[in-house]
Amino acid sequence: MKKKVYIFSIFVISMISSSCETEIDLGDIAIKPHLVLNASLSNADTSRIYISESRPIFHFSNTSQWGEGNFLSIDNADVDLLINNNNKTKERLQYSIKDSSYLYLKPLKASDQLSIEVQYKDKKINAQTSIPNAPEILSVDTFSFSKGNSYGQDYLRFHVKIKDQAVTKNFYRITVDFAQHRQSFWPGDGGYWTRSSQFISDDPVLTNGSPNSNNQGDDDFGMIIFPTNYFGIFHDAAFNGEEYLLDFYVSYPLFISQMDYYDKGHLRVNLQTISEDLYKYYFSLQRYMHSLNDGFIEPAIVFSNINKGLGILGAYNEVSVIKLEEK
Amino acid sequence: MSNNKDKIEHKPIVFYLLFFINLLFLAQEVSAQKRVLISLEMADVSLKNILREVERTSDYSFVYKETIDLNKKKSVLIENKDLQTSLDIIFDQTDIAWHISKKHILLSNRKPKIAMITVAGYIADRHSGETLISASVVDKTSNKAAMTNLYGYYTIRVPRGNIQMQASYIGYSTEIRRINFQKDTIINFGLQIGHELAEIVVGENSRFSPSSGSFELSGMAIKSMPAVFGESDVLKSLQYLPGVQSGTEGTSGMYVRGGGGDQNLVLLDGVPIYSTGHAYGLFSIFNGDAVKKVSLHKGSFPARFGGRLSSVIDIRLRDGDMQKYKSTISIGLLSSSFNVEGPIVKNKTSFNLSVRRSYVDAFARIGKMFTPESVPIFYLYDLNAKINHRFSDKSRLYLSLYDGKDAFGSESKSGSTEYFNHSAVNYKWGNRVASTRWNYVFNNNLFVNYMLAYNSYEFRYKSWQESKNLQYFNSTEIFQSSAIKDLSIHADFEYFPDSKQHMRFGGGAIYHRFTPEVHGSKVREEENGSELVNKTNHFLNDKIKAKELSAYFEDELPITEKLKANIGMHFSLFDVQNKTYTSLQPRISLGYELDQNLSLKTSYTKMNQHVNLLTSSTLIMPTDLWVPITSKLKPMESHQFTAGTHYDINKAYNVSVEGFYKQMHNILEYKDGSAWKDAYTSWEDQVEAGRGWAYGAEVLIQKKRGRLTGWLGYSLAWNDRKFETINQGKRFNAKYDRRHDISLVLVYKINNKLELSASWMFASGNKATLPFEEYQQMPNVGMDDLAPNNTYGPSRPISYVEGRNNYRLPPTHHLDLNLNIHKSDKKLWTVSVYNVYNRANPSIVHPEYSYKKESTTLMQYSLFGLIPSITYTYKFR
Repeated sequence: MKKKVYIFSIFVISMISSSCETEIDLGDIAIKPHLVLNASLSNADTSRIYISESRPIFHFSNTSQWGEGNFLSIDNADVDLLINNNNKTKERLQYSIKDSSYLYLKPLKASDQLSIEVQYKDKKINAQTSIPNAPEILSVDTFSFSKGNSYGQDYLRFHVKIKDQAVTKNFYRITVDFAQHRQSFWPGDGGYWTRSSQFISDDPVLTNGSPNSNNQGDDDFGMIIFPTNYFGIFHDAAFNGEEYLLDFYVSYPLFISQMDYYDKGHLRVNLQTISEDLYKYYFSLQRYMHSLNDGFIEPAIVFSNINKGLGILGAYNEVSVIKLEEK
Repeated sequence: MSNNKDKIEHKPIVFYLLFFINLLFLAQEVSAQKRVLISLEMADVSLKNILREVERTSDYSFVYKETIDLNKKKSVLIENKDLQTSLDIIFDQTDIAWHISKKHILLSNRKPKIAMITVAGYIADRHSGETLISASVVDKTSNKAAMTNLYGYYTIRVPRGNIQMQASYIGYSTEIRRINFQKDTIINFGLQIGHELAEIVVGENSRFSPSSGSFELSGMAIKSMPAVFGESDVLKSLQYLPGVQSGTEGTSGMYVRGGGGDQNLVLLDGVPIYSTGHAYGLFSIFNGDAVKKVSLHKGSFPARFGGRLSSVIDIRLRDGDMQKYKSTISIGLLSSSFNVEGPIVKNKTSFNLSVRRSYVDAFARIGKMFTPESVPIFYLYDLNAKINHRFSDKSRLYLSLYDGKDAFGSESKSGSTEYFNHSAVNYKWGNRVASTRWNYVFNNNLFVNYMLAYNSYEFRYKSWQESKNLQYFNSTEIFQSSAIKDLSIHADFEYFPDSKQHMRFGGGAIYHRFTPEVHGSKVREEENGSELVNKTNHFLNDKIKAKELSAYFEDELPITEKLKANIGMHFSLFDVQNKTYTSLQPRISLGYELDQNLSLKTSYTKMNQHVNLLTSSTLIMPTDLWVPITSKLKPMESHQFTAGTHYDINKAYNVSVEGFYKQMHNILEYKDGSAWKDAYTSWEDQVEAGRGWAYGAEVLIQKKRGRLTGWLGYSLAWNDRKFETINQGKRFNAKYDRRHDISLVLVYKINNKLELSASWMFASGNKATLPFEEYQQMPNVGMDDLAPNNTYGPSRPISYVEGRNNYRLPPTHHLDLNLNIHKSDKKLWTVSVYNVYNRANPSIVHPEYSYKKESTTLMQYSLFGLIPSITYTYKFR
């Protein structure tokens, strides 16, 4: 028995000390930074164009544990927007310090062909896109329900019937903005907002064939995690040219103000048609975020449509599904 | 930061030159003889006078001994005939033979015609009846020799009369029979296991083969080699050969001479197997207890093989003891195996059954009883069963079955009857093979094997979630599967016209059913018992049927006394989606014996492949897709040239050096950014076909005799790929482009009870795709309202990868030891240590934040450090 315990102990200790991590000395690494353009133009009143530069990953001290750290916004680049290839409408955009971006302050229309050129020092980049047609919503039904344990979790369920345009391949996005204002314990303190942008669905069109996001992240599926569609994107492969009923739900109390310490809030759900490039960007970005934690998987390449640069120039056309305000 | 650069494509000039040198030499000699023309008219004169006249009119001279009688009188009439024809005419109906050597014509007494007979039969283990593959049989009288085929069958042409037949095999005592034969006969040999290594005698033309790049390992040799967790492994043993790489350390992946993991034709008793890895490639699916022999071909592929580009791994299983029942049980750290074999009818019918199963899940299941939390369960098993029936010396039947599976699952439940949540996930994958083979000997020169086989590989995934809250019930199931099912029939003939020539021909047909992707969901909702939703969606349901035909002819024969060739042609036809692809694949191997110990070899082979494995991971994943070629995607193709030399230093040591150059076409890879599939998009739209190159040189030094045996191998190789869009269309290093690879394997038999083996391997690092640059994500993704009180901080940056496979990992090396302790005939302890000096070999690298440096650094993760293990084997007799 002693011999068996001894042998077993050696095995256990060896296994524990077996797999390990070591830091690799990469030496000096120099990169030539790329110019980065991020923009999503739309039919909204304001479109924002963000210009920055890439930076080295390794030995760069302006990052935190979570890989954040601000990228310096470039405020003195020449940013030109051209609409429908008409040089007469070419506009030099102005930088907004408050928004840390260049602003275009007019709504754009469906089928507008857009081109952006950026010149900064010796670098020049450009990209093109066009505004898609607005999504067609036929009907919206909502109903509240509870599910889960005996306490129940309140949800607001949406049945949104849409009509897809035939011939073209169309890309969509559902955005959810659920905000609640929580009062402070201390009198005179303004309190704070909490926000959520997630929806839940079992519809494979909205989950891209994965289990719904509510089932992931807990220990049940701890070893098998699927990419989550937290950008809410989908396309019309399953219903091209037809009507389709989108089925999803969001966590939403019946009355925000009746919840302890919450006094106001809102729920805004919008449906967008998005450009194909923007869809590819979001899709690849989701996979990229998913692959960060698995070293055995080949890294996912995030889509970019910026010529001689990095980033994304996307476009979308948005309509409101529901707007609930509670003050 | 990138070291990608376009390289000039190298033409295989050196290999073309070596390939044609021998042919040039031969052609030159033949041509010289044809230029001399003889005209002669002489009546009733002595041969001596005729020869003088020939010498006068040509610049050749005759050389002969006094014993040659040239006084015989003859008449000849020759008009403008070449020298050979003229000599045939002059010496016709005499007992004088002639041979031209440079400018001399050598005369000798013609040997009297000896009547030849054919002796054939089986060579097997005397006690168990297990046939022995590649055993040698020699007639010591005439020095003719032969070797047994994959079924232990040999055939040899010997002179009629008294012969001394000697059969030998490594690890067995030699058996000699002195017999007088007057006609074709069957002789079966039963060899006894010998403790001393038998002296192996080989005769002419049996040892020297024109093919190169082939290697054999017996089941016993595999069990002697060190292995991680003490699990001896067929495929991992082959990884110690030059030109074979494992990919990720510790896994059973096989990357041969620059080829991908799917480019190996792995045959289990002649049936191709698709997925060869258990537990994400940690072990191969082949139970070493059931294996009799494994052969690896890296180049000079004989025409009988086809369907993969880079290698053929031919695994033959044991048939079962014909005399006695015996069984073995082995208990290891991760799995245990049980083997039982014996006669069903003595000397007529035997069976062999091997089962292996992991038991890590047993601990998980016990733990699950004590916790409400979900506990993942993983297990693997495989089963090999075989029945071997001997109708007669001419006819044998084999029935084989393989079934293997890996399964992973997790389940959790909470709540009560009125309020509950139940969720589960389930992965299963595995192979199943069933085959029937019939050997028949038409006559001592013609042997045939017929085979009918069913082969399937399947992967299934299912996750489901149910919840109930009083009146509301919801159930969702997501399912995904991928499968291949083959039904095949094959006939392989072996014909031995004489002891110098070995012909093979045959063909087969396979009916394939591919379902590369089935993906769907089932949703059900009820409220107060009324059904609200009940639907099943199939958003991918891909089914492809294909028919494949093949035929081949192959002949191994001497061209001259020193030059031997294996020449063949493999034909394949693949019919899929109303498109038919055909291919003729020549196979040429030439070997030139400079002397008894030194030979030169060269070869050219063309191979085609009709199935591909799409993978996005460094491990063997069940979610990797096996897909066929289609009407849009053409068959993969390779052209391989090899040239090298083999030298027997003495009876114990030999050295071989070989260079190779391989070009591959239409190889598939996921496009950049496509490794993550959109559920509604077919795989066909996410892959791209391109080209590959692999070239280099390999050295192998072997010691085959004595207490200490083993080998030292070294390879130097380059491995590149090029696609139209991947890596911006630039040529790049393949993932497993390892420049140097060294492996040393030593087995030392200390005494009859102790055997120590050691292996050391070194390999340059694999290539990895590493970003060195990052940039900002689009701000406020997920929300469009940039409110000043936005509580979401800046998002994680996006890594930018400038080039694929742009970083070389540090090298991998480890020393492994294995000690077999035979406590008795029945008890065996195996103690092994993997990675003795605990080298942290890189399995993956990952950028991570360093608190110490307060910046991102590159971290390397190693899977296997020092791992001791112990296995106990008990034999029941």
